[in-house]
Amino acid sequence: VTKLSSLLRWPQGSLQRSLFCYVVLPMLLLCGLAIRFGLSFTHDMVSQSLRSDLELIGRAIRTPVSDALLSGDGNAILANLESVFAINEIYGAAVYNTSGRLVASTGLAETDLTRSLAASEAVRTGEQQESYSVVSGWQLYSQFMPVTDRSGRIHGLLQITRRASDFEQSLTHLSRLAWLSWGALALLSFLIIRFGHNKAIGRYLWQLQGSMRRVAQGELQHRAVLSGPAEFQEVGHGLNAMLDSMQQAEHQLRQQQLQQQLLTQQLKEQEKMAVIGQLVSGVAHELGAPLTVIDGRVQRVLREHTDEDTERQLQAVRNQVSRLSTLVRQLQAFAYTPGAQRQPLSVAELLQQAIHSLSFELQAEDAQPQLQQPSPKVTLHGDPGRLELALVNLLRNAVQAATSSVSVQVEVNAGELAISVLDDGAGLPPQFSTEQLLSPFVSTKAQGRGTGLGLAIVQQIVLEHEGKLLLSNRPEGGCCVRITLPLQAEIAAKPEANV
Amino acid sequence: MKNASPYRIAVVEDDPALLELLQEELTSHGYQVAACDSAEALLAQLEDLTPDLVISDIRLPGIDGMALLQRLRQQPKPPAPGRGSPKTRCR
Repeated sequence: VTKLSSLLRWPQGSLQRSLFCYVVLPMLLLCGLAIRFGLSFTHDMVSQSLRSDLELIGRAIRTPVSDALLSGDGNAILANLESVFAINEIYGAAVYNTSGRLVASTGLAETDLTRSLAASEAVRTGEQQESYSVVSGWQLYSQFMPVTDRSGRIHGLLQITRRASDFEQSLTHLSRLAWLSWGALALLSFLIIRFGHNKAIGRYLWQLQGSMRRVAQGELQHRAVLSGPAEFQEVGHGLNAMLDSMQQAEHQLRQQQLQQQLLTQQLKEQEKMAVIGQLVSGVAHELGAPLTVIDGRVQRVLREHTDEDTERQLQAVRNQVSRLSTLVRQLQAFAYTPGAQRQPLSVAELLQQAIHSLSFELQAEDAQPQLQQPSPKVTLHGDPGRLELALVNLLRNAVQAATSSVSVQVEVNAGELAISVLDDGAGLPPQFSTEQLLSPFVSTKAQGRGTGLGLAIVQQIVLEHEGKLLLSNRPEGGCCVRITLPLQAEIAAKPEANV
Repeated sequence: MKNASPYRIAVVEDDPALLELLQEELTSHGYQVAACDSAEALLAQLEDLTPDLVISDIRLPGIDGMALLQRLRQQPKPPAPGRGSPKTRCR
């Protein structure tokens, strides 16, 4: 029952309904029209042929009947009339005189034609006539034919009858068959549309609709299955392509948003650092002068008082002042605002200068930084003071961490200069992340030995020069700090005097 | 005070404590020291002072150390018989 009701449920505006209304229904109507015209044509044809049958029989027996009538031979007339039964579906034949009185008859025939219009018409015009009448309850079709003698004078009337329904019966049968076929065709069309549509179109449409619904419900990764006729595959393909490009656009948008967030964050960070930098720079400058005065005063007192205990005490004051001065210098270096100090620099000279600067701080037992190979003859574009400061900081860290050796490697590849400072110490402390090690005021050295600004300053200087700083442990033990700096356009080509 | 020197030194420093320390230290070495708390103060009495050496801070209110150096270089060399040419040097 549900199947039947679902079969009959045909929602307004559905494709099936449209197909039925705009394709099948017109075809059925055309078929109906064709049947209608075909039937009417057949009806005419059949009637015509039946009529001409009767006419032929009439013509065949008219002359012998006329002769028999003239000679008044009743038996001859009857014999002639009976010969009509040789043809099927003839019910009767009769001969009348011109006034319509029966002369002789066989089978079903009327007895009196005096009031028959067709009979008098046939006698009057001399042309055959036809008429329908009821005899003994039979619906009859009669054909009246005038009987003429050889001179053409009408002297009687011949009637041949058939059952009127015979004409119609076959036609009715035919038309019933035709309309039944038409009805079956209509029903079949309906079923074909119902099931054929389902097989050929409906299920693929539903598949696509299902896909769209799933996407609409937020399943954005879902893609339509490409199946069925080419058109549906194309639609599915189009849907998938649309989803792909939407997903891509969304991805790009998200990426842009992330990038923008990152930029905003960086900008905020930079603004904050700028403010902190100004603050630090101001504080450092304000601290610098009093520290110089304290140290100067202590030096003066030291010169004038030579007693040992006082000297020891004052020297301790100087040590602490020196520690503070170092911090102030490093704070100034950290808070330094890069200006337009860039110039072409010889890498070899820069390294020599850094090693030379550090040498004043080194004790006899410290490891001496060694250049592993002659520096490549390349020119770097940068701020010499800042780059030297960065190298000195790296070398100082390495010397302080090293057990026995510190070496410096310089390589040039792909437009980049890489300077690595290697030591054979304990390596990077595992409890600190690289990010922490590069943050200001994080120091792995003993309390009072480092300010925690050294690597932060290096990082800053490297970033000022669009470079990168990389901290790693060496497989053979110790630490490797590598800075890479872009060499810009002027690489290697220019030979220069090595110092 | 150590052996007296004929050289005159002008010290330009806006921090009074540092200025005082420098003045004391240089005086103790026997130099004649003119302490100025600004570049303007030095330029105003430059002709009277005719220093052989100028020691100046770079960061100064008003005319800063670098600008002062420019101005001093533009000065005509003062007649300084027997004392060699004057020198300026910035801290």
